[in-house]
Amino acid sequence: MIKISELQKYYRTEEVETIALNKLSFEVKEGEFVAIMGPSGCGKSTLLNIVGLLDDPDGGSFLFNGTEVAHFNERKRADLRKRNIGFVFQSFNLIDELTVFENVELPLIYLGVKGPERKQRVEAVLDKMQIMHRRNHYPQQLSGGQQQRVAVARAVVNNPKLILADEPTGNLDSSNGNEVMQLMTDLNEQGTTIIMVTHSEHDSRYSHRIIRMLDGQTVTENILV
Amino acid sequence: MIRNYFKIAWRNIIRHKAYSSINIAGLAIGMAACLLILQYVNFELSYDQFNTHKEGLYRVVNDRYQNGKLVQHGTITYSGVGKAMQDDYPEVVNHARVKPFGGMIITCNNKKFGEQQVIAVDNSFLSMFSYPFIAGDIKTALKEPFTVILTQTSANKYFDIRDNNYTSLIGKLVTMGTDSMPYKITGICKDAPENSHLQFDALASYTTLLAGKYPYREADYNFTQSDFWHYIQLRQGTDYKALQAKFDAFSQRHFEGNKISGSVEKFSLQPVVKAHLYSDFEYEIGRTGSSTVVWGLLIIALFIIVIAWVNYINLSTARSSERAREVGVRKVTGATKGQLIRQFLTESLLINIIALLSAILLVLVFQSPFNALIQHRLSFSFLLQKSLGGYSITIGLSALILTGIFISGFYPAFVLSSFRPILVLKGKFSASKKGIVLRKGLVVGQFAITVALIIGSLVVFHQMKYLNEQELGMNIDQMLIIKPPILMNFDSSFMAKENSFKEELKQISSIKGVATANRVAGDEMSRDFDVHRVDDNSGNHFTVRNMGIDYDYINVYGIKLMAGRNFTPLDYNADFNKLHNMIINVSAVKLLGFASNGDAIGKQIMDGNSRWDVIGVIKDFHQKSLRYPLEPTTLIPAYSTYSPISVKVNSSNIAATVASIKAKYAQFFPGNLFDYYFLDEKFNEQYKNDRLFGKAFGIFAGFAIFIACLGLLGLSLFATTQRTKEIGVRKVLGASVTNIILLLSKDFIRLVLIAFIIASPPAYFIMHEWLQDFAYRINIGWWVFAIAGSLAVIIALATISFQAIRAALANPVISLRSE
Repeated sequence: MIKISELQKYYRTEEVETIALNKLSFEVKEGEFVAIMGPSGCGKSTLLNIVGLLDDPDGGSFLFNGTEVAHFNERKRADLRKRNIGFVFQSFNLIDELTVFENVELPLIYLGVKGPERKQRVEAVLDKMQIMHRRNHYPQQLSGGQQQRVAVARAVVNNPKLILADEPTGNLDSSNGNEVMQLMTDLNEQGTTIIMVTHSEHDSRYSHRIIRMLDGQTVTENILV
Repeated sequence: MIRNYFKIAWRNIIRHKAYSSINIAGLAIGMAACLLILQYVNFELSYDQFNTHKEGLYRVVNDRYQNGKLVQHGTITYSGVGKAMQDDYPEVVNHARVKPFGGMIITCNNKKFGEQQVIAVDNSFLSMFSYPFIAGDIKTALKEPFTVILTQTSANKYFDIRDNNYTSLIGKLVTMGTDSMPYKITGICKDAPENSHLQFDALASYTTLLAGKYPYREADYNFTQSDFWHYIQLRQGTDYKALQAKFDAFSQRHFEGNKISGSVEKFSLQPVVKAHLYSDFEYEIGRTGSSTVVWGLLIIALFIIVIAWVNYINLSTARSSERAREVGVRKVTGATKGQLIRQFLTESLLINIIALLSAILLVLVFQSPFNALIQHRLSFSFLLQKSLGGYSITIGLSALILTGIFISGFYPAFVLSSFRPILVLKGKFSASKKGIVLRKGLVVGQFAITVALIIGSLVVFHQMKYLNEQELGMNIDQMLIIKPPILMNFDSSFMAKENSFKEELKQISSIKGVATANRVAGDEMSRDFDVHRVDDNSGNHFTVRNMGIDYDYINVYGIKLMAGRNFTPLDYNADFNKLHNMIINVSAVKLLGFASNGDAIGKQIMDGNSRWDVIGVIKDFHQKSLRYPLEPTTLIPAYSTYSPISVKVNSSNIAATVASIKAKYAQFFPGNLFDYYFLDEKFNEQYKNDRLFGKAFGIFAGFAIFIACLGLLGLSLFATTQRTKEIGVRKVLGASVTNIILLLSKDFIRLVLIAFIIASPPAYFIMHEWLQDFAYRINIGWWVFAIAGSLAVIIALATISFQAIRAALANPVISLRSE
């Protein structure tokens, strides 16, 4: 599904050039659950942003389902992104002015899904995430765990092939964290590919494979299953 | 999708009540002020637009030169001019002579109606102008002498018409003034619209002037007496400027240089639709406005609305960091830039719509105080009527609002939608430098406008004060003016009767003095154009103002006698040809070339064909407002039935004094209508436009300042929120409340100071230009700028300190705990 070769990314300020990704290569197959680990500043998030088509690389190749997307423009990236990729963030990133229902509905609106179908799909996913009873609440009225469940619901509502999770349990206590990881595992079992950046060894054990990074390169890969 | 846009926009408005209120209040006040001003502007620009032939209607105006100098810039000219133009130029297809009778007493069914404005016009006037007929034949109504057309209101008033049967009035008779022949009613027309520069209660036939026992021969076709107004109609498509270019030859042909009229005549044409707003002419027949006021207010209206939109842009972009995360999330979930721009545009549209609705409400509430201020009955409908330049105001207003909404919405939308999602979601968002510079630039712009408006208000206020305090050279306080007994006949007994009347009034203890003159302060004196010293053989002729006064006038008005003597009863004679003594003012002494005031005494002056002896010299006095310079003036000992009577009264118990005067008036001048007014009020009416300008300028400048302050309040609210942590840290490290207030205020104050520096030169230049319209004016002193600058800083400080003090007093523990 994802094939990255010799990927490069630099961050430049006026005086310093920092290499974030240094000719990094790796592959993720459809249906895999991959955890990316490494110390702060090793390039994990940069990699996730490029894979999520939120950022473009400075060099190398990035094949998404066999298509070279490394040099896609903003519009093409946005289009590919909204059809194929769901995001889960450490800080949930829900929109405070929208209710739970409306937050989850958002990707479907941007996909142009009609009203009645949207309602049906949002309700289905909220049901699945067991937060249907909170559908009319605003994010600030929910606990952290509930907020992250809403964020996951929003990430999966348009049935993406790939979910990118950036430390999804980072702001949660252990029981809420486990719940979220269980949700991810269930999604993966239903066929969704997941790439997760994490600092937590505990969380990483939910994945099939752990890629460890240092200084913008992969250093080891542990296959867990 | 649209529904979603509106939903989120609405929730944002509700959630951020402080910012939304500031935005909406600013925009609503700005729009309301703009709507009110534009009603007035459109009304003023709509004058004479109702005339069907307005494109081809012009009035003939002329500048008169003597010894190379402009001596008259007027709307009056010679009775032969209109016909001569039509004879000479095929482009002129019609002309009408116009001569106002002034405030007439009209008598019908033994009832008298005073102060009726009657204008004598040629029959052609009726087909040139559009005053629709309700009864009578418009084609022939004013052909015959002693015929009259009444307006609907006059007809109702004179004949108590209730059944709209105006046709029944045709053929009925009314009497005007002392005319022995009655006038036959030949037509009833609708009232002149409020936006007609010509206002009248009745139109009399011009041929009346030429008929009767004493025909006014100069009124027919004459090139020596210039007391007539002319309107001409040009063939469709005629370039009036091209026609005007031929008028030098016209002048040469009919006046032979200065041989015929004694001065060089330069004619030009003024489009009738400009007669109201662009008249700086003397002897104005119509109702005039001031284009300076209109355009000045229009500019203020634009300033106000722009300031309000700038607030919106400023606050929206300042708050962009707060909304950055939302933008990031939307982008990540698939929103395109276009969709985000549309969302933010919807938000600005919604805010603008709410503001517009609030503005309409505000206009409805403030319409009547505004109408009282400008002394017109205006309403929303005035925004929609055709005016100078067609519907440009209506279209312009709509375009302005749409453009404003679009630009004020588009810029923040563009800024917000440009955020890079990965940065903002990581919390690495910081306001761009460009954005900050722009925001500061906008604040500077707003305050520059504000400072300019403050300077403008100060100058207008100061100039008005200066005019009021200026010595006129005569005392018009507590001067009651009684309308002249125009129904009396001027015969040998009139002067004695008037003198007896005056003597009787002087016996009343509350009356300090009584005098008559054929003009009072504020009235335009007549001009004589052919004046020179008898002993001056250079051939030079001069122009002087002229007025007939009684022997009390100089004393009652406190005019200073500089040399010679005042008039005595012996100087008067009912036969004008036997008068020969004259008093002149100091300016006339200089103009005529006397060595000194004393030198003039005993000398002789020729005025036309009459010889006059100078018996006294008086100090110059201001007959007209201080817009106009002092002019050389001659006073002659003459009475007339058209001379108002000036009564100097005590301020105590005026009602009783007036009652006593009224009783005497009825006794001496039976049949005349008693009416009076206070001279100082009437005199000050000359400053009506200036006072309106001053008031409106002040009030709307106040609005502009208020809206700019709302913006500043919003920005300071934002800035202090942004710096909460910094303030906490500084306090922990020992900063005092004053330190914090200074810290938060100094950035804004710097911007206000920059605004002051930018605004001062153009404000000086514009106000300097405005002052040039006044012959007597203030110098714009440095203190105007000092006050304006200080005021701007104080207002800004007061606005900011509201937030700054709150932030400075906050407990730092709270702001730091969030870490």
